Amino acid sequence: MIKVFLTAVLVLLLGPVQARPNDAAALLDKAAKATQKLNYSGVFIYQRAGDSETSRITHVIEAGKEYEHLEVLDGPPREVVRTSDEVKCFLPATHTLIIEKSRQRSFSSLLPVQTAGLSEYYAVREEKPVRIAGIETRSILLEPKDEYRHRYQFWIDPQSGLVLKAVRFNEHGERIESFAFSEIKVGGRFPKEAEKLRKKMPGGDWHVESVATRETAFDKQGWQIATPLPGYRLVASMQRKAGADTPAGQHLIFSDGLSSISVFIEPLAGRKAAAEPELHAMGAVNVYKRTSGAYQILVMGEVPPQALRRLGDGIEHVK
Amino acid sequence: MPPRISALMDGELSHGEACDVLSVLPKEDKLRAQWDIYHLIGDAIRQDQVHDVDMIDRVMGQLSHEPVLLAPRQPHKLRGGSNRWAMAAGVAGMTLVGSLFWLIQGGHDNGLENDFPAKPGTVVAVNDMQHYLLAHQAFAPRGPVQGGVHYIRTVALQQSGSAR
Repeated sequence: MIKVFLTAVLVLLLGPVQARPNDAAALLDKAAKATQKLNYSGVFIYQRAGDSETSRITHVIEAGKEYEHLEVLDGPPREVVRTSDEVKCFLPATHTLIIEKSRQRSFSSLLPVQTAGLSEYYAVREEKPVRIAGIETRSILLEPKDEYRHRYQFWIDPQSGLVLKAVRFNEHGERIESFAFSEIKVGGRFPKEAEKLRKKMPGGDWHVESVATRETAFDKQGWQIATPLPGYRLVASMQRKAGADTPAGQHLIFSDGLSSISVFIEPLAGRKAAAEPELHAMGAVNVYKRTSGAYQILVMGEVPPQALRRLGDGIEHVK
Repeated sequence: MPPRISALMDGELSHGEACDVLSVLPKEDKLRAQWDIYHLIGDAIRQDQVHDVDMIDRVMGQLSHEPVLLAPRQPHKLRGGSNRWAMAAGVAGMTLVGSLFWLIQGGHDNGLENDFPAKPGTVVAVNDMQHYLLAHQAFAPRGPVQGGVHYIRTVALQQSGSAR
């Protein structure tokens, strides 16, 4: 009897403690999958450095293909439309339309999200539940274990798996950026949306800039990474060309499952070589740029500057 | 036939099919008109300089006054179906031939050059940083946060960039 009692106490004590981290990881995994599989439309507020903007996001799956539409509702009506092989970015202030085309990699079959290995580089724990956009959410905090990534907190709708609020903090614990839904409709049908997005083109006089991309193997390009970052895997390697007169460059993507870094290696082709490496911020994204021989190496990501510097400095031409 | 012309323009036909369509094209006025209209629509949508449907006469007229200036491509790729090319060139003139090379080569050449049919006089201005940011957001794995939300960083920059 005492044995049974002790076992029961042990289960009560240990059960929840052990279950919680796994549970949090499972919820993150559910969130990663939900964003690609569900139809939803909602209004969210994006905040960064004291500024905030309201936008609408719509995500529709039709005939197995993903369509996504982001529309900024404040200020100039900037928009991003993503279909399976094309991302269009409408920038009305400069009457510019940027079209990013992918030849082989479909944007919709994007890399599987590796939430499984996250706990190796982040301490994952669950915080108090909070109500957001009328929904009782569960909150997951990811604390980085080294200086190469930021701290994240997500508030997730346990029913749908959608992230209703997310905040990224810098190394000093200050908010870098956040987004939070003020209203969201999950599921249901958006009958004309996919067709509307397929056909979407601006009226009037717009300047169209086209970028084309195809996958290539990185190891055959004569470059090597001397100082890889712990936890960041090379998840994609592409050749990209940003115009008829621009020589093709390379685009590499590294990810730890949550934070990602892009590396662009391009011939200087008339651009001025930077005397010193440059580090700067573009909004919430950090950028590190240096010159190596006749090449420009540009490293960017939503990560601390030291991660970009370490990765960028170790990229060497071996031929 | 019109659906096949549309498919040809979208680069969806095989090399053989494309050659078949191209061999019929010069002989059929109706098809040629269809071809011209599709190109006009395409130009209008892309905001290129819009051409008249009846552009052939003018292009041919201009051709006779100008040295032949084709898009900078490797000439050896044009060997093979040269008779058909000649016919197509006779019909459509320089501008259209430029885009045909592109459409047909696209099927068996992996080079990215083919995604940019060079248009004489077109300067591609590149707002570098915005491009890089869009490419980063477009291809990077999305993590748990809804994919489209990531793009806010690309367009949020636009506002702060113009304000500063």
